[in-house]
Amino acid sequence: MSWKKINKEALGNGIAGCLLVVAFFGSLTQIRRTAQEVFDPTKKTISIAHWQLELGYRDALDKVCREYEKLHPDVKIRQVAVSEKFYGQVVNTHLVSGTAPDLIEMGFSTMVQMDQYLARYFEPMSGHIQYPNPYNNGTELEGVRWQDTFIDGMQSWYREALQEYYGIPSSAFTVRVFYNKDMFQKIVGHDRPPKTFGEFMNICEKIETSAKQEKTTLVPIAGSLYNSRIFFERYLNAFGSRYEPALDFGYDGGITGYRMYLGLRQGKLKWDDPTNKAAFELLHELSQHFQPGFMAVGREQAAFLFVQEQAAMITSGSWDAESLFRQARFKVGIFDFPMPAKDEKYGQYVRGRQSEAGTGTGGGFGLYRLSKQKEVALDFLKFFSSKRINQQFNQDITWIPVVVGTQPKENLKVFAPDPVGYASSFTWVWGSHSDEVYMGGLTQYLQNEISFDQFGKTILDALNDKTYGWYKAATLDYESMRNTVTMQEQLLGIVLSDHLFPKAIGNFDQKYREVLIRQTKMAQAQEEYRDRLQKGLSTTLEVK
Amino acid sequence: MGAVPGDYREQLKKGWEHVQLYEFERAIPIFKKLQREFPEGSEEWIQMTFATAVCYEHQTPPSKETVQESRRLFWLLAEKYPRHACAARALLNVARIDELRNYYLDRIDLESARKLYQKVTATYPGTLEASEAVLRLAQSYTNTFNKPDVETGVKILEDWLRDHPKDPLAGIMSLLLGDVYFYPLAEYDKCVKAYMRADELKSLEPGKEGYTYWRIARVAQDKLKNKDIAVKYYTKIIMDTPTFAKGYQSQLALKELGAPVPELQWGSIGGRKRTTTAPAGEVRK
Repeated sequence: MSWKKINKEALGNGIAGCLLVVAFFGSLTQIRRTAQEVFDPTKKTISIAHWQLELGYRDALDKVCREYEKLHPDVKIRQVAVSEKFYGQVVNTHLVSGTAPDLIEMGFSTMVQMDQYLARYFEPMSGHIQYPNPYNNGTELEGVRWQDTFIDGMQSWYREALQEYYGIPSSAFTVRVFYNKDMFQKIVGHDRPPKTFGEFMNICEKIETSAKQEKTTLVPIAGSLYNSRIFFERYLNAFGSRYEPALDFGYDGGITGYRMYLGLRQGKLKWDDPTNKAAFELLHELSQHFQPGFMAVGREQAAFLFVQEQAAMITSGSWDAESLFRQARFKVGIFDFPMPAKDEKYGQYVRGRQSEAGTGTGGGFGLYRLSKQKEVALDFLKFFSSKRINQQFNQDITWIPVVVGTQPKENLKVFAPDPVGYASSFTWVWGSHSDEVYMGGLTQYLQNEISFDQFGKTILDALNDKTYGWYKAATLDYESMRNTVTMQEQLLGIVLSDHLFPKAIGNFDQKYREVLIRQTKMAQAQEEYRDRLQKGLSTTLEVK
Repeated sequence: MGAVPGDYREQLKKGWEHVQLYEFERAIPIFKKLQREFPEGSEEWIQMTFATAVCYEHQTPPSKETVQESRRLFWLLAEKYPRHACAARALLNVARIDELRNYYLDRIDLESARKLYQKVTATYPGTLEASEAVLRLAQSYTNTFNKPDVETGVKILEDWLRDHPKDPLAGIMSLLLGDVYFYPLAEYDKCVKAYMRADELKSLEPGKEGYTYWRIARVAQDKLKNKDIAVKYYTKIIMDTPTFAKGYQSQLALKELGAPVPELQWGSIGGRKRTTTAPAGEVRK
């Protein structure tokens, strides 16, 4: 063995050893720094977990945290940002092990979705939200109950079976169409958004013609399974609400799966109704302007097409606005889904746009019930949802704020929920089986693989299938109602026994009345459902 | 009976905390252990017995054994300590257990439940339990959706409300009457009156008032041809339930009825106050 070789080996090992030592001490320093941050005995540390990895979110939240820390120098706030892919697992594990973050964004986790776990791990908010938020002092919201400072009165955060509020919202979301203004100017000759569906289609055709002439791969609309569903839902609702007078036999403004199916069986609704046919023809025409194979494309790929100027338009929610604004190297415009005008094709079959009055609030954070810094975490939530901070935070991330009197960023005003429109519609889906068949059939229909009639036969067969179709859907609906009634019965038992003995809950009269009202309503609805099915479909549900 | 543990109050508190968190299975051993420490009939013993019964009643998954044990304990309290504050509730709970299907293949005993509801009303007049027993008794008939039974249930409620107009549960009873008159009875005039009474007594489903307003307005317009009521409730939808998405359709209905059309109030409890003028007949946007 030569000296040269030995030296080379020694040098290599030496470098590796040095790197190892550097890495070791680096890690040690990092661990120490983190430990100091997390376990700093001079500070009350709280952590806030979320899955929002969109551009700007963490910076905006960080800004809020630092502002709070300035007001409360004894507090340290730490963000725990986890990809939505793993968020549920991380939250579930930490909740069960008792090491959960103090504030947890509500979503993706079964512990958040299922009532029994929610009650176990999260702080009920009723007792807190009935008092004013002190961080609103000096504004028109001073003295207003915290709950009433949100645009929806926190209705989106009410869990019916538990009769409680869990979580405090931060933002609201609606959907619109984003477009490349520069491209519109160049190809269409102006950068105004289309006002009607006819104009919309004309623009799409101009873009396609231009792409052919220029021999580019440009498409009018970037599509994906995720994005196209937003389009489809909006347009189907515009037609579907025409069926409300015939199918809303409950006179409560909705067309549920079983009302759709009853209507179908009673002949009030037919697959080949001109209205239904027109609705799907519109979707078919629209989807010819997406890139080929769009149903197999993911959300990110569609967004990529748009920002890379391979597509002139894309539909998405206000949650994507900031990312698209930041990534696009062109002027981004936004418009609402244009409806067919009366004198245009489809016009006579359309009732109108979908109302957004029911737009709820989202992006909420729940308070971990076993948090060691519950008071601090609760106080931070108040700060976070105060008028000034809610506006600042949402403007920073280009989302829609949810507190009374707040304003979104100027370029997001077009996303503000519009209450004008119709609220009821239906889909040809009742239960998971028909849902799967419907989506499969829709994909084939839109890709010209099957005809409208074949699509209809597929979906009607799925609905009529007694084993997997309507009967299973009906049974599951009924079971779901029964579970709710059972949980309400449990809650009633808890409230009443508390009133008799420990008297820890408080506000008994109101609580008892509310539980009893909901329980009475739900029990009635459950049995009405069964009776209507029995009479309408000549069937008896098997009840376990 | 053992010596009363010094920390029993702490344990008791813990037990009730479990109850509040729906952790009935964790509360049972605590209550049962404490129950053994106190003499039968003492205030503490009664509390532990009641608490154990509540836990057995609501424990999940339910089983024949737990539900029957719950019924036995409630029955024991109701029979042996009828003057205690929990006796009426215990008796009502026994009736409830008999009425409901609590576990797989549970046998519903409506006759027993109804007798017990009547017993609660007769034995404890003037109590909340007596009122609730009337509501439950009526429900035990109306929920069958069999017309003669439904009519019996309706009569129970109507008679009670006539004799006890200020009953604390009058609003909830009116709400149930409204539902039943709507379906299956299809007596729309009575349906609307009952709902309006429930509304006056602030007994509509909290946060979901809009649904009942819509039903009242639609029934008044379509079935009763009562313009005044329809206008009143379409207007209430716009003014009082801005996040119920029927505001715009209410505007259209008011316009059709030739009534004044208020602006949509969406956002009025929130920022971005958005007022929309009455539609000029153009329903698409």
